[in-house]
Amino acid sequence: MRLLLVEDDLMVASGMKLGLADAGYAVDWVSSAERALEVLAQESFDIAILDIGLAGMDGLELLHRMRAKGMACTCMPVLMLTARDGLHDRVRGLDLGADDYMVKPYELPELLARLRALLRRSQAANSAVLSFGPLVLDTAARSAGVWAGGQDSGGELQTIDLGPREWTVLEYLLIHAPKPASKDKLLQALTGWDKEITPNAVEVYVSRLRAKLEPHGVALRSIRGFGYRLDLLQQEAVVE
Amino acid sequence: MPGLIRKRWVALLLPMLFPILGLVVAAAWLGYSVAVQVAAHPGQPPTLQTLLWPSLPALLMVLVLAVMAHVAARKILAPWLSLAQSVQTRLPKDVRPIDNLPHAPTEVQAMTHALNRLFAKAHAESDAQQRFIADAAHQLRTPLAALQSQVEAWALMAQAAPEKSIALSAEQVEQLRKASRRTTQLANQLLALSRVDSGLEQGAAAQRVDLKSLCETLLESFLDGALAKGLDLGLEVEPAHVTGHEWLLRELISNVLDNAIKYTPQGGQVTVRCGKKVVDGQQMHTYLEVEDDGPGVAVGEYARLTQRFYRVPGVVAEGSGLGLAIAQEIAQGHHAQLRFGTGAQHRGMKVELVFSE
Repeated sequence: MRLLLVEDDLMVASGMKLGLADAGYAVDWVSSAERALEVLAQESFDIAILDIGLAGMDGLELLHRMRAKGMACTCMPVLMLTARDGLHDRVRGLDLGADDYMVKPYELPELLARLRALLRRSQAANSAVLSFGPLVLDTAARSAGVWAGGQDSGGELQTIDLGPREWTVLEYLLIHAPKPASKDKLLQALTGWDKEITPNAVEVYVSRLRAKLEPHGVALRSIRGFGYRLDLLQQEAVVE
Repeated sequence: MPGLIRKRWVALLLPMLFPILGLVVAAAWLGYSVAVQVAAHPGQPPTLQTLLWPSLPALLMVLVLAVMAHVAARKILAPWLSLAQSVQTRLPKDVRPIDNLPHAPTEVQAMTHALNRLFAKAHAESDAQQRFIADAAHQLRTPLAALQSQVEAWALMAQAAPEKSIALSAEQVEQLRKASRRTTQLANQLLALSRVDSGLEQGAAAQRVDLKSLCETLLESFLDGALAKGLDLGLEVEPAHVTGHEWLLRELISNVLDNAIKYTPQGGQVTVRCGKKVVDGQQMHTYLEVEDDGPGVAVGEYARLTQRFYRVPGVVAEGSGLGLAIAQEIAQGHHAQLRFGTGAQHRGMKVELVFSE
């Protein structure tokens, strides 16, 4: 994953570079918005972190230009970083097209989790294939599979049989992962299939999905009084 | 008092009496003169010339009336002007009370009293702010001192052997990280507190806040942290709405929930509830509560929990001591009560927010 870091504070930037590189990102660091625009014209990135408080052109102005039509990076996920977190700044940033907003000083695990969430969202928007750990869903072909034996070690993709309603529940959970999904929303998603659906039906489909997915390391965790969430079993690889 | 009021009315109206009488007489004279002219020359409208002389007394009377009104107004407004003068010449920081003129009318005295009360309040506010800034600075120094002392020691070691690098144990790095996060957390809480203070004062329009949706949003934010600690975080929410400021209520619930998760040991349970219930055996009130089954807090400590920078003695987990102080201010701003108690089966802690609606 190629990441563009626009930050003018040397110490913050060096700490970030270290942490991000360690997590597997290929980081390009620039210390001004002007330089960032030059780099963006020449290279392509998967995601960007912008500091708002830059000397010269500020991060919000940079974001505005990045989102201008015709720029290659119009759709690239952007995380805004700032020491000022007034409601006002937050809203302005999101209005201008930032995808998320974090306050400095940041905690590295949270930064990494938010970057993952942004990448997942952009992946879901751009392709029909969603993945979560070993689980893969092709929303176009409406098929589901798991990488048996680990995806990196050349394992094979095993298809999983899902009924249409099980598919709907799993798709909804996957799109929202790692956030939990409420039972109400799942029920709404299911009501498209069957007007007569009862609230208990969600539990039935969840337990069926559990039986099919747990052997492959994907769990559907119950959140008491709320709903469900996809989790990885053995190694908590997604949530550090 | 009634005698005084009567005296004032008399003092006000008496000077006006003569001009008014004169005006009435002049009007009558003018009307009479015009009538005579009309009668003397029927069919011929009265000319300007003929009207001029009779109207002169009337004009004179109007002039006298204007002058007397002006003089009376000046007299009445004089004490107000002198009050304005004494306020205007004050420096912004001057909060001494204004001296009352003994013969000033009661309205002016009332204004002077009100101004003096305002000055006293401003003085108390500014005093409290000074104390708070000093307290906050002291608090910040503690984790910063921990950080600095470690780093100073390492810097000395590094200077002694500039070519070699120093080895840090994982334990040491972890300690450093904890100290730096503590400092950050304190700074964040201080900022939140100042924002709560100014947000409540600015009197932004209150809106209808959906408590159920707010609880669900906060559950999503805190879920990872709770699960990482092996806690069972859950909701028991019913639809409930209040009038207020969503971002402030979010701050309040965040602080309370953060405490519950922080102070409940692994394997424990934290539940967030909202809805309407009967409170104190009387009416139904909208409420919100966070209950945990952790060690709880001694009843004697409840009153001090909302004091700024107060930490319960013997508590191990780190915190700034401001979370509940902030929650209390927000609760007050929403005309709600923050209550502390034990959880189910007299275990753990329950923090309730009871609204007046």
